[in-house]
Amino acid sequence: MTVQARGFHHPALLYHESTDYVAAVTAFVRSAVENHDPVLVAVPPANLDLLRGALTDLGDRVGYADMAVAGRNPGRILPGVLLRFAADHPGQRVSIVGEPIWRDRTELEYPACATHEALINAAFAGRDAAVLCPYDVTRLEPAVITDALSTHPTVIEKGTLRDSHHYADPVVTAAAFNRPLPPPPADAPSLVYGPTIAAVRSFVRRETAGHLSEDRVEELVLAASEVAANTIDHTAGPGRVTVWTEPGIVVCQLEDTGHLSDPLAGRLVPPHTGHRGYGLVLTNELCDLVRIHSTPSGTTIRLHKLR
Amino acid sequence: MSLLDRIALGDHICWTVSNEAVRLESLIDVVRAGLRAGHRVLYCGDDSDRARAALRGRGLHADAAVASGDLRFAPAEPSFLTAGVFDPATALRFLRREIEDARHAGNPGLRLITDMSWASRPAPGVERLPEFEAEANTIFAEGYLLGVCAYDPRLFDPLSLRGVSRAHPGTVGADAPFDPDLVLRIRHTRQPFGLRLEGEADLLNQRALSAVLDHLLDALTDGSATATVDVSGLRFVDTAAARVLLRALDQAAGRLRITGRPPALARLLASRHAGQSPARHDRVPRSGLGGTSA
Repeated sequence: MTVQARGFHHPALLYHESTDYVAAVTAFVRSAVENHDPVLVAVPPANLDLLRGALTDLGDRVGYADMAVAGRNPGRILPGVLLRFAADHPGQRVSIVGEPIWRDRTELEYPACATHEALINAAFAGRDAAVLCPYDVTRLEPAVITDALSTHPTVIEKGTLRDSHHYADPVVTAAAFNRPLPPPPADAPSLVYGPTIAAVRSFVRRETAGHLSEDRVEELVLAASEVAANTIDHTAGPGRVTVWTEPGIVVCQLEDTGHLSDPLAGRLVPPHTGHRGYGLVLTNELCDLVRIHSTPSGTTIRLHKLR
Repeated sequence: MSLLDRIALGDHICWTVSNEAVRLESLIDVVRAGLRAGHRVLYCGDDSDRARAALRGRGLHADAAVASGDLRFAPAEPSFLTAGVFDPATALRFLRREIEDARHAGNPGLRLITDMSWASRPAPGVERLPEFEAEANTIFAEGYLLGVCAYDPRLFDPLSLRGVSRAHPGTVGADAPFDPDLVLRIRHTRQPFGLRLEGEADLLNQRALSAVLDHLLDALTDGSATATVDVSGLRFVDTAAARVLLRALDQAAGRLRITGRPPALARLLASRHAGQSPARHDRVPRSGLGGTSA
């Protein structure tokens, strides 16, 4: 059940227990190492420990990333983990174990995770790579497994690789997760902004000070500023920025009248910081969750920062 | 405290204000503070008669200042317009001439307060106003000239106003006092030769920054000359401003050095590898700005 042919492979691994998990994932990793392909394992911490333990003999031939940190924000996984790993190994086939969905993912995070899974297919189309995505069938909701069948062209279950008959055009699938967000609390402070981004930054600084460390305030300020810059660049304005807190998080939401029609915006790695289009990538980098809901009549971008 | 109290020599502010009383009051404050500091003050624009009357009303003996040459009121024509035509090069020469005169008279600084309403009327060349405002930043960066360009948003369509506003290192509305931390301050430095940047650099003032950087690179005519841009005082940088700095570094081909790595810049460049194993980060190539020295 190893995936060796050239081209792009993106199977969902449906596993039921950890022995099952370790056997399937280590087989994938070992096969890639034998082929001298660079390998990255990006999974949540408990699974990371299991795999590290089972792969100690491979030493530094395998790279590891804690998905709960590197992929805390699902929108960061493509630009910050998967595509970056591929970019670090130009001209080589890369193999990656990417487990972006686990049981503690919140209701608000999940659509961003599913969008990510769908868009991997678009971002990696035509590349020489394999991305194996494990799904914990016993712990995840059945609906999540159903979604995995539509975001992965192939499925591995009980040692058998098969095509997924539910797999569909990744952009169409991603669009189904372009869902409206619950409204902000009625008493949340907000600011209508015209063509001055400095006002947005001052507002976010003022409203989040005391809820976050100074460093994290400035990270959120930078993210909000990049989103507001898009409002100013691409719409006739105005926009609205709203800030509030929820248990454990600070939320900053920006709304404008623009339409973000490219689902891959913010998920592809531009050649360098100086490239246009880096703003949303940076936003994904700086936040713990970025949710986007965009229609032709307006766009809402919600940013989360853990407290 | 007046709205424009914290403005200093070298600042070049687009001030969008529609309330007549607020505008006149605040501009008069800038005039008074200038005269008190021994600066020469040039009040330029359509409403100079009203400004003069308001000064008198506030008990300022404008006549003495006018007689000594420290205070001058001038209409837009011929300061900015020549025979009804606006030409950026001519307008820049006007600025340089005024600076030369003020320096010659021994004033430690020059304040140029302009009611920009004239630019809302059709005049040949007026569409080149953003070009003039952007180019003028090199003159402001010398630190001798202070400029408040008062634009009445009721007179300009939003698109034109956006164009001129972005040519300034800072745009301020009348709803809040001018805060130097929220705009970009660009100043020339002699030792080392180059620029010092402070405040916030973003999409909205990157055109001003870009114009000054272009002039800086043009000044490096001697093949061995180098310039330094000290960014340690930047408290905010966005990707649009970073793009301008990176482009200048590229164009300078080794003759430009960026010094200082404020948290704002580090934030933009360094937070990219969270959670990845160290063995992997080392291989990630750093962009040009990542290599700036401390």
